[in-house]
Amino acid sequence: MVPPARSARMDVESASHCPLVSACSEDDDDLGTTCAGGGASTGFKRGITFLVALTLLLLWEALALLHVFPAMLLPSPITVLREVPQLFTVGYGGQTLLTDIWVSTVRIAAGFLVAVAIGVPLGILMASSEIAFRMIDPLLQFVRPVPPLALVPLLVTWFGIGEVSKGLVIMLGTIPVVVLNTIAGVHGTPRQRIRVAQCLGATSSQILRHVILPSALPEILTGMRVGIGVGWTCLVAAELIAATAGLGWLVQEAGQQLQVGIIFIAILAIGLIGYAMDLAIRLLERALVPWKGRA
Amino acid sequence: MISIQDVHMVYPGGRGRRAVPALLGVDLKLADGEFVSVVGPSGCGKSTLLHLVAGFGRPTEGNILVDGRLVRGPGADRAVVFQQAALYPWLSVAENIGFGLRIHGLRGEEYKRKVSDYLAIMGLEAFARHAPYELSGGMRQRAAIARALITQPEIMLMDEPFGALDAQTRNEMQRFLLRLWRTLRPTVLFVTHDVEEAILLGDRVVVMTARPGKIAVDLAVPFARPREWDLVLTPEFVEVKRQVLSVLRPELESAEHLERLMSGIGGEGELDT
Repeated sequence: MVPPARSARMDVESASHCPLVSACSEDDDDLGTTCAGGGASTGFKRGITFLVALTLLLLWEALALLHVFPAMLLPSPITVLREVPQLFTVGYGGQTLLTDIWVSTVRIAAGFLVAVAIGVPLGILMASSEIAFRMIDPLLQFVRPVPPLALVPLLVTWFGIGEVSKGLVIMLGTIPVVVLNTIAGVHGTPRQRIRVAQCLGATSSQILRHVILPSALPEILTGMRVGIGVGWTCLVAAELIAATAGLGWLVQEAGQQLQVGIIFIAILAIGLIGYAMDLAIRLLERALVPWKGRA
Repeated sequence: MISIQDVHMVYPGGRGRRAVPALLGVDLKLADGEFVSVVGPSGCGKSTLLHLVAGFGRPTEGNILVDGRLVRGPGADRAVVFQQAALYPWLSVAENIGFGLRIHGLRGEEYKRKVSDYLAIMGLEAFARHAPYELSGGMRQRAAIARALITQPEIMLMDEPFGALDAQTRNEMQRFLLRLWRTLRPTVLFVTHDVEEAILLGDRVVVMTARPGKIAVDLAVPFARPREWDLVLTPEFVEVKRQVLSVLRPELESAEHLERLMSGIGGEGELDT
């Protein structure tokens, strides 16, 4: 057989094509200094995030100290912070903050997983069958602009204020996003990837599993990322209207009692959890589709 | 054996676009183990022809037979190598090369042995576990060739496989392909726009006319094998090249003319590439 081709030179070749090796390492001095400057400013850019957060907190503290609003309506950050331990131990309205966080998190997790389990296969079905697409797409396009919140009274009438209506609200918000992104992902599969498999004798189900699904995965994950955000918003809003526990309920309950500090804490928790969910899916993305944007 | 019989291909128009005739009665036969290069001006339908043999479409008229059977779709008997390697980025280089074997349910020792054989042939052992996007263009194309060859197809259809590579890598790949072909002896239909490449590699060089494409000349290449790259420097080679170019030149000019006529109508190139 043919001898292996010149591996030493290949090593050099691969190094220069390795995406980890940036322009910094191989180009002339000019570029090098530019890159070094870029490196220094990266640290500065990161610091700026904290600076802004700190400034906002100070601004808040200043507003509170200046009594722009009565202290009861705008407690200072320090007052709010003091309320946190009590919220965790004693709680508010009969349950601790942890319970409310737990209730909301379980709801979003369950609703989201069901939404993905329905949305991804539905998207694949719609992408591969025009009949299915024409049947389901108008429904989706109709549901999408309707704020899921507008459906809450209906859901509560039918299913009560229990978990079923919460799950449905999340799904109404999440499924269309997941479906549309899945369809885009399937349709976006480069034709040559499919042809390569066809030429190797792959059946259509093998092509679906081994070529189209992995090709669509980056888009599906994008859909999941956007979808979980939408679902979270829908859930909290639904909890505001009709619930007996959860972060949305806590905001509503504290609002009625003018417990502004608790509202702040609940909102902070809502934001942080939303941020964490987004981060989790981004980590999932990094683990599952490291090739995204590189191939 | 590939038998292309009076093949016509018209891409249907629609929505204000004219139907585009791509092929106009192409007749071509490739014997088993023969290496045939196809050159022609861009948009002449040479890629279309290759795609029809691959089974990505059906000719409007005429038949394409492979070993006496009508081509009805893509199949494992005809491997295709595209200009872009189209490796699967979620698989390692080794997994990409073994993809066809896995599709056919091959596992275990035999799978491993074959994959490592082909990694060795392609000089990619050190990159077995790398991701395709960590490879250079030439290495990617070698992996794509390995993926196409590992199921030992009788026919290889190559659609400007080295067109996206830099000149030096292209030379290396040409030599590499020649060695590979001598060992495995598949029937090769090799589409290129590089006349030198076509002559250096092929047993025959087929020159196509500008769109709608038909065969202008079918030239037997008189050089013995094995051929080395410095063959292109010999007067004999230059003479063959002159012959091919004398047919191709007028076609290139008329292709340019056609391009000017077609601009604004939106009938760009081969629709199927």
